Amino acid sequence: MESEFEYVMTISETLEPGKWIAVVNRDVITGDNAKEVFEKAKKKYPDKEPFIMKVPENATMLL
Amino acid sequence: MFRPDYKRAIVCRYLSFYDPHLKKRFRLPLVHIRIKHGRNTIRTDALVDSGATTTFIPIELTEVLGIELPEETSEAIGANGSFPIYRVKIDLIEVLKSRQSFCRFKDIYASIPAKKDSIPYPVLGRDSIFRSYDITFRENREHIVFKRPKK
Repeated sequence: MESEFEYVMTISETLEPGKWIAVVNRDVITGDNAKEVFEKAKKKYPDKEPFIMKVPENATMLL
Repeated sequence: MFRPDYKRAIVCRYLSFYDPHLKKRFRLPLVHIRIKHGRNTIRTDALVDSGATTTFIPIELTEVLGIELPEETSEAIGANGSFPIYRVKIDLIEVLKSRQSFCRFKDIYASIPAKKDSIPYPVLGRDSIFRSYDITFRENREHIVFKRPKK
């Protein structure tokens, strides 16, 4: 079974830059901050461990 | 199903995103990680960055993990000059391929930038995965290769 990270690999170019996402199986929950998407995912899937990330927005970067 | 073979190389594909301002696709060497702290666990992505001397975690994720931050900050140097960070001991960070862990760091110190939006994702620096693996960035093939160093 594919992980949520592997699923995100297949859709990553279509995700909205700058948004936070939580993913459980193939369900993508989008929001403006990490806590919001995590809590929404835990409410919907209380027994699952969500994958969360911020969608990168800039192709040019130096951390 | 992926079964880690610690003698063999582990290959992780880059992730690809779209920059709407530059109107172009860009790729990043991000890997799948799990962070455990206290009773809380999340999985997220992390940048493998040989330019970072330490491991960083965005402050937004410390809120999700319920990590208590110390009162005092110290300073780190970044591309924009120095910025305040908290130093926090994290119970466990695991690096995953599919859903299987192939690298684990227990009680690892991480730097947490004090300001939100300082970094978009965790950064695995030279104090973590670079100590366990020889890492090759194969930019043209869009993947990273992790190989156990020969002893």
